[in-house]
Amino acid sequence: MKSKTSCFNRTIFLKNTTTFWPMWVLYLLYLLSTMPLPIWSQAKADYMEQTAQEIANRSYYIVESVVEIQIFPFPVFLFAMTAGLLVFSYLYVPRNANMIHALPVTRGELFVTNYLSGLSFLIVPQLISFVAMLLVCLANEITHIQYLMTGLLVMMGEAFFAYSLAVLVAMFTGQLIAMPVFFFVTNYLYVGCLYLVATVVELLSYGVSDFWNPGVSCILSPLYYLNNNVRARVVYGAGAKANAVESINISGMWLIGIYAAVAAVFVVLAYQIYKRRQLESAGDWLSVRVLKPIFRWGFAAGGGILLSLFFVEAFIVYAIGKDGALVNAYPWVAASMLVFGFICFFAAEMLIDKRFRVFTKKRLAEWGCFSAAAVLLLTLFEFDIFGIERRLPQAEEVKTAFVYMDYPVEVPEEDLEELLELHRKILADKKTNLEVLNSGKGYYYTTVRYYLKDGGKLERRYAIPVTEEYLSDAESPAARFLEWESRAGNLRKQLFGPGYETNDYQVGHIDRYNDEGEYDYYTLDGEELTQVLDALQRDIDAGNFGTYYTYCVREENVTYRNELSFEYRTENLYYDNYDYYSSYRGAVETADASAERVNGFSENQVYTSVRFGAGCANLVETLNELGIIDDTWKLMTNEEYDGTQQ
Amino acid sequence: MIRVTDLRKSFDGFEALRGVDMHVKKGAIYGLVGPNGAGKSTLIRHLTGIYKPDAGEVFIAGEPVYENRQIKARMAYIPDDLFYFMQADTMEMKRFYQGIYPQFDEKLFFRMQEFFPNIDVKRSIRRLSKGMQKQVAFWLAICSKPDLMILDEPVDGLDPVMRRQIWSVIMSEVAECQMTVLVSSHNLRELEDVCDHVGIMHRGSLMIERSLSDLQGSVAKIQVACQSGMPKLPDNFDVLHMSNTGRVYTLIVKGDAKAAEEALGQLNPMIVDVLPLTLEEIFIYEMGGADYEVKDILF
Repeated sequence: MKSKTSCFNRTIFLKNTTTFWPMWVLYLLYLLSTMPLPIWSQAKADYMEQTAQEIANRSYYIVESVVEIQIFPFPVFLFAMTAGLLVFSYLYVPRNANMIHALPVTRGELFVTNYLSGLSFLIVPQLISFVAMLLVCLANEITHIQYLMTGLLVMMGEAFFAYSLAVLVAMFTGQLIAMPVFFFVTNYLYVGCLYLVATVVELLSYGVSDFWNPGVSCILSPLYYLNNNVRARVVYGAGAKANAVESINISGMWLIGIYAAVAAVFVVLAYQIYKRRQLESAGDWLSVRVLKPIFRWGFAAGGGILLSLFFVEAFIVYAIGKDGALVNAYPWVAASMLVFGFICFFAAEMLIDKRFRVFTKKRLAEWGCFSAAAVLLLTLFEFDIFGIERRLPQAEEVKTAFVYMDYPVEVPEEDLEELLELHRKILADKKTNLEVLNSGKGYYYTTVRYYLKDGGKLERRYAIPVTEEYLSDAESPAARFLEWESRAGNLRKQLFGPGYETNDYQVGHIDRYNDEGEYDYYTLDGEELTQVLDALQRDIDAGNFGTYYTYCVREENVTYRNELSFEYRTENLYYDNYDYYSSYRGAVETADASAERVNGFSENQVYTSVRFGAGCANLVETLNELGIIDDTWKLMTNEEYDGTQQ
Repeated sequence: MIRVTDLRKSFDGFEALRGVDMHVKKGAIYGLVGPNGAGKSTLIRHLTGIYKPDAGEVFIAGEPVYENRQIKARMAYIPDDLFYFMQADTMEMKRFYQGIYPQFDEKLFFRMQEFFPNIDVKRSIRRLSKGMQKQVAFWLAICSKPDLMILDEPVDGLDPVMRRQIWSVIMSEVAECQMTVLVSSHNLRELEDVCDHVGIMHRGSLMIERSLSDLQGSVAKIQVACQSGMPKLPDNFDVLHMSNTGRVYTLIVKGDAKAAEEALGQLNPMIVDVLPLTLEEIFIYEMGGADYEVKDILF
C-alpha cells in the first residue's frame, strides 16, 4: 500500500513512460547511432596505418571522437527541453491541467513523479548506449573506456542541468509554444545582452571596436558556455613519445559540477513555483505575475535595440554615410529605439494579455517611462559618461600590444609608453580625425589592441589621417605606426611567420610573364631557393620593400604582378595573419602542440607568397643572375601586363 | 458532505467568486444552476481541489480539499470538457484509474461492461464519439467508488436512452452507498427529476440554496381573471412578475400561495388557479429578480 507521505506515483510514472515513448526511443536511437555504431564502424574500418604506434593511437582517436559527441551539449539540451515540455505539457491546456489536479495526487507528488519521468527519459537511454559502447569496445579490443565513462558523466551532468532548467522554464509559462522559446532565450540571454550592449557601444563610442569580449560571466549562458568550454582532446607524449597518444583530456569538467549544483537549486525553485502555480494560467504566455513587467521591459529593450541596430546598420549608415564614413548614429538609434521599443513593448503586452486592445493609459505611461530610460541610457553612451571611449590601460597593466595598420605589429615593451601616448593623441584629435573621415579620403583604419595581464583585451579602431601633411610630421600616429611596420623583424614575421628565424624552406615558385601575356609557373631548385631567399632577406634589411606592404601609402603600379611563393616547415605550428598573439603565444608558448595534430596535420607545412617591386634590387638582380628572369620571361606590373593583352 | 464558507476567487482583478457559502448533505443530489459566467465551474474547481481559494474554506467530509489526497481519492469528477491521455484506450485508462484511486473496483468495471455494449475498450478513446467518451468517463468514475461525485454538464452529448441509464446507475449508487452528487447543468428539466437540493448561483455568489420542494413551495404561479380588470394583491405579497392575455392575468408570487389565492378570492374573480412552478421557471423568475436580463427570453 502506498505511503501517505509518498512523493512518487508509480501509476503516473508508467503513464508518462508509455505515453511519451516516442521521445525516449528517439533519443535512444540517436545515442546508439552516434556512439556505439561509430565505434564499431571505425574499429572495423580498413585503415592504412603503417606503424604500431599509429595503430595504438587509433583506438584513442576513436574514443576521443565519441567522447566529443557525448559531451556536445546541443542534442542533450534539445532532448532535455523536449522531455520537460512533454511531462509538464498538461499545464498548458486548461482541460488537462484541471483534470490532472482533480486526481487524488498532491502537487508535490505530481512534480516529483513528472520530474523523475522526464529525467529518466534522458538518463536511461544514456546508460543503455553506454553499455552498448562498452560491449562494442570490448569486442574490438578498445580499452580506453574510462574516457567513455567520463563522457557519460559529463553527458548526464549536462542532461541534469538542461532538464532542470527546462522544468524551471516550464513553470514560468502556460504556453506550449512559449516554453521552447523561453528555454532557448534563457540559454542565450546573457551573451545576447552582452552582444547588444557591445554593438551599441561600438556604434556610439569613438573608436571602440571588438567590445564583444565574452568572459567567465558568460557561464550565465549555459548552452553557449558549455559548447565553448567543454572539450575533449588527445594528449601526446613528450620527447621521443611525441607521436604517441598517451591520454584523452576532457576539459571543463568543473563546469559540469557547477551546473549540476545550480540544477539542484533550479529543481527546488521549480517545485516551489509549481506548488504556488495558479492553474488558471494555463494558456497564458507567462504564469508568474511578477515576470510580466520584466518580460514587457525586457522584450521592448532587447527587441527594440536589436531592430534599431539592424535598421541603423542596414539602412542609415549605408544610405547616409559616404565612402564608408560613419554617420553620427546616436539620433538614429535613439529615434528608432522609440519606434521599435514601442512596437516590442506593446507586442509583449499583447502576448501577455492575449488581446490586441492593450493601449491603456497605464501601459502608455509605462511605455513612456521605458522610452525615457532607454533614451537616457543611449545618451549616456553617446556622451561617454561611462568613460568607455577614453579608457586606456596603464603600461604596467599591458601584457602585450599590437598595432594593425597594414598588418599586425607587436609593439615592443620599450615602445609601449609611446603607443599609449599616440593613442591619447588620437583621442585628443577626435574632432579632426572625424572631419578627415567624413571628407571621404586621406584616412586609413588602424587597430590598436592591448592584451592585458588580467586576461582581458582592449581594442580600438580609428580612422587616422594619412595625408602627406600628417605623414610629414614624424611624430604623428600614422608616421610612427608606419615606421614600426617598416622594421625588418616585423616584415619578416608578416612574410614568414613568427618562426621565421628557424623555418625550413623546402620549395619556392615564381610566376613569370612574357610579352604575349603568357604565364609560367617556375619552380626554384635548391640552390636557386637559397640564393633567392638570401636576396630577399637582404632587401628586407635594406628597407627595399618600401611601400609594397604599406598599402595606406602604396603607390599605384609599382608592385609586380609576379608572385614569389615559398613552402616551408616551421616550429610554430600555426600562423594567423591577423593575430599573432592568440595563435603564436596561445598555442606555441603554452606548448599545446597537440592542437594541430588533433586536426590531422602531422607536418606543419606553411605556404606564403611575397609581393615585391623594382625597389627590391637584390631580389631582382638575383633572379636575373639565376636566369629565372630573362628577355623572354619577365617581371611585370599590372599596367605592363595589361599592355600585353592589347 | 460539502461545506463552503465565504469562498472568494479573483482572476486578474475580476471577482469570479464573491463569498460563496454552500452546504451539501451526505447522500444528497445537489443541482448547481446559474446563468453563464455565474461562477459555477470556478466553484466546482474549488470543490475538486483544482483551484486554491483566495479566501474562504472548502471542506469535503469535514476536511479541507485542497492538496488533500485522501479526500480526493473519495471523489470523482466528470468535467464538461473531458481529458484522456493521448492514444489511451478504455483499458489503459482503467489501469490508470486503478492505480490512482485506491477504491477502484475492477470487478464492478467488468460487470458494468454490459451497460456500455457499444464501447470498444481497445479503441483509442479520443477516436470514440463525444457521447461514448462521456460514457467511459461515467464508467470509470463509478468504478472508483466515490463518496462524492461532481458532474459538470454530465449528460450533454448522451442519447436519451443512455442518459436515463446513467442516471439510474447514479441513483442506485446514491441509494445503496449514500453517495453524494453535485451536478451542474443547464438542463433544468432533467435536474428537476433527479435533484433533491438546488443552489442557484448568480454573479459569483450562491443566491438561493434550498431543497427543491421548499423552492417550489415558495413561489407560485396564479392565473386569475377579474371583471374589474387588473387584480391587485395587498402590499405584503411579493409579485415577481405579472402578465396578461385579455382578462386572464398570470402572477408569479413569492410567499404563501394559499394566502395569495385567498386574497385574490376577495376580488370576486371569475377564475383563480394556483399552479406549481417548474425549476426552470423558478430559475428564470429568480434571475429576473436579480437584474438578470430574462424578460426578452420570457416574453
